[in-house]
Amino acid sequence: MSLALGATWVVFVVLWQTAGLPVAGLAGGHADVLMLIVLVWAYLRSPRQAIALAVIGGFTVDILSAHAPGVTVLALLPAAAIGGFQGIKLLDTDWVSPAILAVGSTVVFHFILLVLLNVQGGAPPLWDAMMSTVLASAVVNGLVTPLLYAFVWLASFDVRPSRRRLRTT
Amino acid sequence: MIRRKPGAAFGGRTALWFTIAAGFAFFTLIFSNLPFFSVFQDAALAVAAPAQRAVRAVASPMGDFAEHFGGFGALKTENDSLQAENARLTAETARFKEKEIALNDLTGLLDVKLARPNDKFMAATIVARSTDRYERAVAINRGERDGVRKEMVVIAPAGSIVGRISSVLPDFAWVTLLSDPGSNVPAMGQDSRVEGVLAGRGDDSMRLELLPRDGGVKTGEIIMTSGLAGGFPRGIPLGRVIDVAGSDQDLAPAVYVGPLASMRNLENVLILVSFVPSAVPVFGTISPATAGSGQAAPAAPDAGAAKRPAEAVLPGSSR
Repeated sequence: MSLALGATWVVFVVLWQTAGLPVAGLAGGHADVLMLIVLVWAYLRSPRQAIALAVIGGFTVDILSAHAPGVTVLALLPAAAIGGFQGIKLLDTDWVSPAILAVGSTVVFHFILLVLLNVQGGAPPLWDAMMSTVLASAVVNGLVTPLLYAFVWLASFDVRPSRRRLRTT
Repeated sequence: MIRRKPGAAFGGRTALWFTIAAGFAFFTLIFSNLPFFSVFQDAALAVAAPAQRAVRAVASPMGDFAEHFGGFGALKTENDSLQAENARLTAETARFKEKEIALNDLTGLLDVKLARPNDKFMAATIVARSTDRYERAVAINRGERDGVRKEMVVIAPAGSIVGRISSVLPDFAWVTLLSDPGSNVPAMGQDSRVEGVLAGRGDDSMRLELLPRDGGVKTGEIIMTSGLAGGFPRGIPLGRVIDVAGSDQDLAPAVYVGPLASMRNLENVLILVSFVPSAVPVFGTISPATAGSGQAAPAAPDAGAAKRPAEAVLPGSSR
C-alpha cells in the first residue's frame, strides 16, 4: 500500500469523523482511529511515511474542525515516533506490541491535545479529562489496534516477503 | 515478519523530518489568527462539505449498523422520529407554559415581549462537526457575508437553544454547542424559577451549576435561559433535568441536564438574527475569545441578512 493510498485512507477517516459518524467506543472512551493509523504505519512500514500521514491527517482535521491549524498535527506526531522505535519488542509476536504502544500513544496524544486546547482556552481541565476519558480511550485503542494492524499488514504486500520466498530460503 | 522500507528506523533523517513537521505545525499554530487561515479554512469547508454529505449518505447505514449491532433499523428510525417529535412538542409546551407565566407575571416581562414581537431567524445547515470530546462545535453554511456575527444565538428547529456562534468565516461559521466544556449559559428552572449557570461537560449532557443549596430543581423540569448577562434572550428552552444528585452535606445539588434536541442527528439550525447579545461582564458568561479581544456586542446583523432566500421569519417569539 503506497503512501498515496494511506493518505486517501486518512482523509476518508477524517471525513467520516467530521461528518459525525460513530466510531468504536466503550465506557465514555472512543477509538482515535487517525492516531492508530499513524502508529501502526510507523510500526509496520516507515516512521517517515507516518510523519507525512500525521501532517496530512492532522491538518485535515484542524481545517475541518474548530481547532487552530497545527493542534492535531502536534498531537499526532509522537505516535509516529513511538511506533517507529525499533528497539521495542516486548513479546515474541508482532501483534501485541502495537496494542501496548497504542495505550501509551493514546495518553501522549490526549495530553498534548488537552495542553494545547487549554492554552487556547475553553477546554476541560487537564486532569479531569485525563481521568474521565483518556483511560477509557486507551483501553478502546488497545483493543482496536490489532484490527488496524491486520489491515495494514495485509495491505503491505510491497514490503512483506512472500511465504514462498520465505519457504525457499 | 515485515521487512521495512528505508527510513524505517527512527534515525537521523527521520528525526529531521519529525522536527520539520513539528516546527511547521508550531508555525501554523502561532500564526493561526492571520486572515489567510480563515480564507483557507473557508475554502476547505466549501470543498469538504459535499464530500462529507456523500460520506454521511453512504456510510450512515453502516455506522448505524455498527452502532446498533444486532439490527434494529426500523425500531431506531421510529425511535428517532418519536424523539424528534417529542423534542418539538416538549419545546412547544415549554414555550406556551413560559408565555402563560409571562402573561401572569407583573414584573414587566410582558413589556419585554412586546418590545420584541417578531424574532427573525436565518436557516443554516450543519456541514461539519468537531472530532474530539474536548471541543463540541459544528460548522454551519452561513458566514460573515450572510450577516452572521460572533455570539449570535443558534436554535434547533424544535425551538431549543443549540449554542452560539464562536467564530465567523466569510461563508461559514462555527457554533460552540451547549455541551462544550467551555460553554456557560445563565439559566433557570421553569417550575422552580431557580437561577444558575448551565455548563457543558464535553459529552451529551450539561450540568446546572451555581445553584442555591435549597434549589428545589426536580428531575424532568425544563431549564430555560434566564437572560442574565445579556448573552441570550430570556425564556428559551435549553434542556431537561435528567438527574439530581448529591447529599445534604453538599454545598449545592448536582443537577444534570440533557438536551431537548439530539445533537448527533441535528442537520439544520436557525440563527436568531434579531437578537443582538450585549456583553455584560458577568462571571462565567464571557467566552475566552470575547474576553481576550475585549470585543463588545456584535454589530447589528441586518446588513447582509436578507441576501439569501433561506431566511425565514418564524411565528412565535422568544422574549
